[in-house]
Amino acid sequence: MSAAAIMQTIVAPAGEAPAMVDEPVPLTVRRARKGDRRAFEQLYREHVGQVYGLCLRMTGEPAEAEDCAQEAFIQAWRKLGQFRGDAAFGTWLHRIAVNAVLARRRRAKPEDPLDERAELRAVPESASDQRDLETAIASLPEGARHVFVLHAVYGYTHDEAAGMLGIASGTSKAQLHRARTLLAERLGFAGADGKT
Amino acid sequence: MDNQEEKRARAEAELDRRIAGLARDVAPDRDLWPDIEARLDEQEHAAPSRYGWWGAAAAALAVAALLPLLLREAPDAVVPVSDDVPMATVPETTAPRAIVPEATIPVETSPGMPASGIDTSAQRLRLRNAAVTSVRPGPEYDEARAELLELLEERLEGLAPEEREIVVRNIEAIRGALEEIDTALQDNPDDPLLQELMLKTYQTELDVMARVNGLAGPARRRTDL
Amino acid sequence: MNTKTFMLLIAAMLPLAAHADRDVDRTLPSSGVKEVRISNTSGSVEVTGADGDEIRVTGRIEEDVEELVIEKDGTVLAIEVKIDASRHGRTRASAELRVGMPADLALTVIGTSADIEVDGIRGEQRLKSVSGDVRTEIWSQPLDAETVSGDLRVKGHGETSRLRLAAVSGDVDAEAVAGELEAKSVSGDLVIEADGLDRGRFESTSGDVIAEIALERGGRIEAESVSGDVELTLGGDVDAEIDVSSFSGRIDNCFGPKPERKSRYAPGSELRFTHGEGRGDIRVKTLSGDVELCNR
Repeated sequence: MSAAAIMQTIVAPAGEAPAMVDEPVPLTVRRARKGDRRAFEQLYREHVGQVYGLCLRMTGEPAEAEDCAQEAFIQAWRKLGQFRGDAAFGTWLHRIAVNAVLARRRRAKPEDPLDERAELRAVPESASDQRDLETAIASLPEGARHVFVLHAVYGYTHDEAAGMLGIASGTSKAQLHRARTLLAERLGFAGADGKT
Repeated sequence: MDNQEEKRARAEAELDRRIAGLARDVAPDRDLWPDIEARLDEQEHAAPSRYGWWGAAAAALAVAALLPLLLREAPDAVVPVSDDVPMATVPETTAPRAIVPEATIPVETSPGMPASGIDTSAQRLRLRNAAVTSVRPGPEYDEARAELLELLEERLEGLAPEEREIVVRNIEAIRGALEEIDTALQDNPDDPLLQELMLKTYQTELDVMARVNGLAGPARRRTDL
Repeated sequence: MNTKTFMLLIAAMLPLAAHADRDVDRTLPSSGVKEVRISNTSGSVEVTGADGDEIRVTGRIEEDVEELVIEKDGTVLAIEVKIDASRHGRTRASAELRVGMPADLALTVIGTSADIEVDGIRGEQRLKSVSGDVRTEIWSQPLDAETVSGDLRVKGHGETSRLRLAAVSGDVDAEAVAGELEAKSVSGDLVIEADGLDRGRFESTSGDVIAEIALERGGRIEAESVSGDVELTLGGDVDAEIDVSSFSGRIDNCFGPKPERKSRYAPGSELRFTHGEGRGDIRVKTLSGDVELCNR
């Protein structure tokens, strides 16, 4: 805070809001942070579609995705105090959801190689073209699928996606290329490559 | 070659078009909120139901050494910064060296407390005590705890009901933790990790009571200044 | 306040006669003052550090506040919201106080249910609230902050300091701190981001400990939790002996060595290894909480 800002705070007439650090945290989030369940439910209603969509596409399993979405909201409730408002609330939630996916994945790893169950994966209900694409996404190898979902579907940059997944940005780019190539093959288009 | 390039570009465009058409929102088949809410409740009320104590000669000694600090009167509304003694902390102690089972001694921490208890919070605090029977630290510990508890009951009176509930629930959670460790200790009595965690958790309970007493005290005292 | 040797009543005995909310605006010279102590039962206290040599108290107090006492006692300036004992329990007794003061003075704030927000104070701070949130920033001077159900948020500026942060159900969140840090909560989470920690001690019962830390050479971290998880991310050149044990939680380690079962009969596992030359010391203990140890 600059000296001028401080002086302004001091000389501000009583009753006027002081020139404190801005906190662009939405009111609903602030209410939820204070323990307001209804506010948190409202946040759940607003964001569940995206969080579930992200979980479903990353895990490819509706049951897993439900668990992951639930876990994400429960974690979010516990960690609301950490939400600083420097990213959108939705982005913050997505990070938590991605962590939930990765944590579940780590726990499942030894005896449960999810990757080998690609053919069992569920895809969201949608028109046939989109359904084909969803099926193709679901069949991608895990690393490529995670990057593809975050970058191509949810619009995160490579740096952001890499940060969320704990991988290098270059790996994210390489995985995206791989994902696009595989998708093009599986959808029967020839020639598409990894351009972003 | 050109043809190939063109085909590739068309494929790229088609892929991009389809990707762009993907909905980011996907509604789950069922409403997840009731389950989430139930788990939030669980978290907030998480306090296991079993209870148990262990005894640690070293713990008792450590706690006895802390008595004067723990039982210090709550500070005035404002305390000089230069005062080096922390408000109500429990310093570190060494890990306990021995565990002394004292299975038969009942723990009655605050005998003679007025029956017209403040409210159910105080009753809950004491009820949880009465359930303790297996093993426990020495009498110095009980003494410290009884006094802290007595003061805490008084302090709770000055707090808003929701605040009181939070304090009681957290003390119950600590006691739940003690009990979990106790259960583990019953099968693994020599485990130094469990012994250390038990001691630390005992200290946490005292520390929390002392801190609440310290923090909640000034408000009431302030009116008498 | 009971052993005053010298007391100078400076200002502001605001009588209660008027049963209405009142605005406050007092400016006092800060000469001779080394510490400002503020106490307020409910409402809020916002303190801002400034360059000048004045202390200015502004804000609004509600009708059941008996008086706002501002008095100087030696080098201490006390600002106290007093509530009439006979009116205890009345609901309109909160005060929204804003205090601007020289940045290098020491500060003590006690707020029962008042939120405490401090900006730009470089002196030593003691901030205590029962149910209010406490938010502050620090430089090199020590901080002692406590709440029961409120959250504690501290933003450092990377300078070495000594911090003691204690909550009960609230979360503790410390960012960009260095030096010595003790943080504890019962059910709240501890979220720590420290670059250049000499000594860190984190205790929780059921809350999680999430810490991202660069340890100073020869530094020491101890983290203990009963059922909360401990996630420790180590930055910089990790040079420490690492000792992690959990009775029934899972231990994940990104540094390579795998945890070992402690005994055939108990579920516990432990992980001991040396990274670098082992000059520092990192110990993590949990009962059932999972432990994750990673490098940044």
